[in-house]
Amino acid sequence: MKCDEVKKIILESENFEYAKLQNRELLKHISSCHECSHFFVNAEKADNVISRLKTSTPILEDPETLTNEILNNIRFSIVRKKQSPLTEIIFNWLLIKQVRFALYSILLFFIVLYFYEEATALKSVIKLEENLNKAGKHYEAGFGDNLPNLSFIYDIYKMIVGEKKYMNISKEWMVVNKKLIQQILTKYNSLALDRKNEIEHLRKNLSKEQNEFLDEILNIGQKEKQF
Amino acid sequence: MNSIISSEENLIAILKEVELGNLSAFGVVVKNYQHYAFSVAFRCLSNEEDAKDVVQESFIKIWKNIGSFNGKVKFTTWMHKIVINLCYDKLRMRKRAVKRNEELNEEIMESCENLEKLYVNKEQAEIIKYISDRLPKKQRFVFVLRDLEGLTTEEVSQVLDISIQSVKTNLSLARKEIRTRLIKWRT
Repeated sequence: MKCDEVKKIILESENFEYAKLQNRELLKHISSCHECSHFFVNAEKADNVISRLKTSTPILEDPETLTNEILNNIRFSIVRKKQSPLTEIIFNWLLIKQVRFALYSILLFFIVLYFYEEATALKSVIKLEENLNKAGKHYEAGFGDNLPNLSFIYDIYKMIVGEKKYMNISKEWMVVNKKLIQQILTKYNSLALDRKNEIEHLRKNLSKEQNEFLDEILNIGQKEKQF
Repeated sequence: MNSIISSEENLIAILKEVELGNLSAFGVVVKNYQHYAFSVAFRCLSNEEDAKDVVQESFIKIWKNIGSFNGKVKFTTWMHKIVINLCYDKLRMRKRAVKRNEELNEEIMESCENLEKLYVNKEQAEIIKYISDRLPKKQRFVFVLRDLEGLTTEEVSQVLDISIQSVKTNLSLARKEIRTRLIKWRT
């Protein structure tokens, strides 16, 4: 048996004495080799150090003080939790740099979103106004009093184009009253199917231009989604 | 309230009180278990002050999370898990903050020649530091829990969230390294 093998067995064994008794070759080698014998003795001493460490439990000096410190810390945290108002919690959060940065980012995002929506809405209103003007001209040219079943469309026309003429409605008015305009335009969509069929039937009697106007108005109903 | 926890049933009753927010009941738990927590923390960190900090933090954590203790494992196993996690954090912070002095305190080690002498904390700390400082954290914790604290292999695997086989492997590697270090010191 070589010295390296012996040392390996000694280092890896759970119990040296047991290993020595179990392995006759090991025993023979240790008794004849001075170096390995010395190594074995030191290994036993090393295990004794570990055993001593195991039995000598670390001494906790003044355990009463430690207990009191722990309990006082908990008492303090309970009191603090009860007393801390919402503003203090928010303030504490704001002290964190990352939280502040996140808030600034969110704020900036909403500002950009607001201006983007405003710009988009204004663009839609301009387009709507153009459509209405165009449709109004067709309507005035082609319609008479002979379309009572389509009076709700006439109401829409009067409400939007008529009032606009009377009140000199600006783009700003359209923006402010866009909800009202939306309500009127959705009126058509809310009609019962037979009423819509009735309108479709009546449309056969209309001229090409009149039907175009109606399409314009109904298309506005689709365009409302852009608002 | 009786300040000594005499049985598992007794402990469960006290923990129920703690769950309801009874701080004096928690005081009893602290008195009964702070020695165990300190022993583990001290042996893992080889530093008395750090160990005391970990004990404090551990019990505050136990108070806050007592609702999540489901009784599936022993209370001591659950407590050891909390202590070990905090020791792990402490070692990580320490590694970042200070470059540790790896030289062995010769004076202390000479005093360890007399194995009959009862080690005081400082001596124990030096020895543990010497024998386990170069060990990877997992091996170090396995060695402390299994060989020094006397937990069973199964308990160690529960505390460290590793398999029983992994506990055995790590323990074997740790023992080998520690023996080598101690033999080197002796020769």
